[in-house]
Amino acid sequence: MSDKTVILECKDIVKKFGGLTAVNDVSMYANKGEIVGLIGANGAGKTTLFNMIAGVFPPTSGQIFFEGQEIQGKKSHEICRMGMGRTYQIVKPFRNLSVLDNTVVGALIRDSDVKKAKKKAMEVLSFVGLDHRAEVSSGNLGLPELKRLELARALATDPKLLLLDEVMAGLNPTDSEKVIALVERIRNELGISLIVIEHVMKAIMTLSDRIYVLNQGNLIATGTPQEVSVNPEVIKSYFGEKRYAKN
Amino acid sequence: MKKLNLKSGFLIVISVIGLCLPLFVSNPYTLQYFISMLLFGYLATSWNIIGGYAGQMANGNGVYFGIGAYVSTCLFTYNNLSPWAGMLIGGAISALVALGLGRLTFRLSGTYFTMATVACLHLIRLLVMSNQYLFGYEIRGAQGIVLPWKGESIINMQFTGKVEYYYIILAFFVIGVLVSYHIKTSKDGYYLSAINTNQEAASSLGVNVMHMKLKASCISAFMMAIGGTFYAQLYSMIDPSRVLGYDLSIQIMLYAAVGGRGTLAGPIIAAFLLSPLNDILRGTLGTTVSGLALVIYGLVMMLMVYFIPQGLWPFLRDKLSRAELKAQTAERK
Repeated sequence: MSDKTVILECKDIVKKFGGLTAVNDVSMYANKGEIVGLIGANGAGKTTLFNMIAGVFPPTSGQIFFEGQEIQGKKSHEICRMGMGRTYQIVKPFRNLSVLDNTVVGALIRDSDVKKAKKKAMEVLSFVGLDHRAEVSSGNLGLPELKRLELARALATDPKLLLLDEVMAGLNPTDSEKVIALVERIRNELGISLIVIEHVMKAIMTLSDRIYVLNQGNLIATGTPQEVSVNPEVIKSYFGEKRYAKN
Repeated sequence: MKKLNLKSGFLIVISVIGLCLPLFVSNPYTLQYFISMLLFGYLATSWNIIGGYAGQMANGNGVYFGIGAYVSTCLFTYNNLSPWAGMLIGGAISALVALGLGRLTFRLSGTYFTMATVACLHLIRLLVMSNQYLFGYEIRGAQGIVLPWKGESIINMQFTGKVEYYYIILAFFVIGVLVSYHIKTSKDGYYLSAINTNQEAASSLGVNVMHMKLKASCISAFMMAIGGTFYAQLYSMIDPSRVLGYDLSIQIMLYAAVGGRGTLAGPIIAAFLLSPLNDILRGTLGTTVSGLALVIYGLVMMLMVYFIPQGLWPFLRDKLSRAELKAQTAERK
């Protein structure tokens, strides 16, 4: 991580849905090779921010730079082609397709040849530990495996930056541990930068190099996991005024 | 390996039967059954590309069939252009119309999309129905056009017998199936079935959803239009209620739905079973109790949709693979 070039930068992002300001003037960045955590209570605007970065909808105002290029307003598929992958909080498998074919859809963006894409997809599946389930229909997978499939599909697109939206939500501690290890391998072995939304505190504290904390659309704190965990604003937003006053 | 042999063996037998059929069937009336089987198999296969693979419930796609029929017929009747060239022009025009309509309608989703496609069909049908002239061609409104006899020849696509028509539609059908197979097994097929299940996820994996839908729609429209030209040449007569009717669109969609949307074989199997059923019922009951044929046909459709909603082919395939599995486990024991 000596390489400190910025891979993603958001400048003064605002998103309004009608009268509601979901994300208010948020600026953040992620360096190459970094794992950046994004935390906050429900409705803090984390997923909204992700959706803007990934091109699901444009921000009301503000700029987003990916490897120095402005990307706000670009479509999801264009951003994916540029090298950004994402997973969804609520898994979205192609239920009519097998695990392998799900992953092939991702791999086809870099290689139009189905045979080569299949080979690539198989490699990715063995990386995430789903190769033994390749021929199973994705409709028959359980949640832990579906989360892995989300990862595999996104990895198959050969991203430089991966946005993970709660890949651990709904998993038991054992499965979470495995995913944490997997995320670390994605960074260390594949050299992919990551921005991770997570509710599981233990996971985000172990994984992240830096953390951003959102509360009701506002950025209230940023820093290393240690810095953030003792920040009074953060404690207040997570545990409430009373607990903060007591401690 | 064994399975592959079985499959290719089956295909060879079917092809031989298909090629030699006119040698055994001399009655033109019976041959007509087979022609309409192949025509509907071809049309259902065409529709399946947008309606099945891409999962877009376009319900007015008969409009492209009608455009194909009218364009080639006008060019043949008034400009003396061979239907072979006319059908390419009709196909191109249909694809362009599909492109324009798609730009508008693919923004809609679900039921709204379906309704918009039906509206497009009716708009164009009414346009043709209520005009004596269109773009300078005499289309004679609701009366329709009777194709002039220009002599039996391949170039005119006019024959006194049915055998030639049979081989032409057989060729179209085979080409249609090959195109469909190619799409299904290529990158496009993967992308279309991803769009079919989850557009948002597909888009996040780099699939240009709008572009893919338009592409599928244009290919489907082109193929439909060629079917329209064939129909016009076969019956030597077209009118808006027949070639631009809502019934036709529904019929094509039903074959694909009953057979199994999104599968290669489903729409073909359903068209091969149901189109002759329709013809035979009408042929035998049509003269005794009017309407009874349609009632029975409708009942068969309803029962099939009720009992095998996933479609005939997925249902059969499931049974087959289960039987195979059973046989395998029995062998091991």
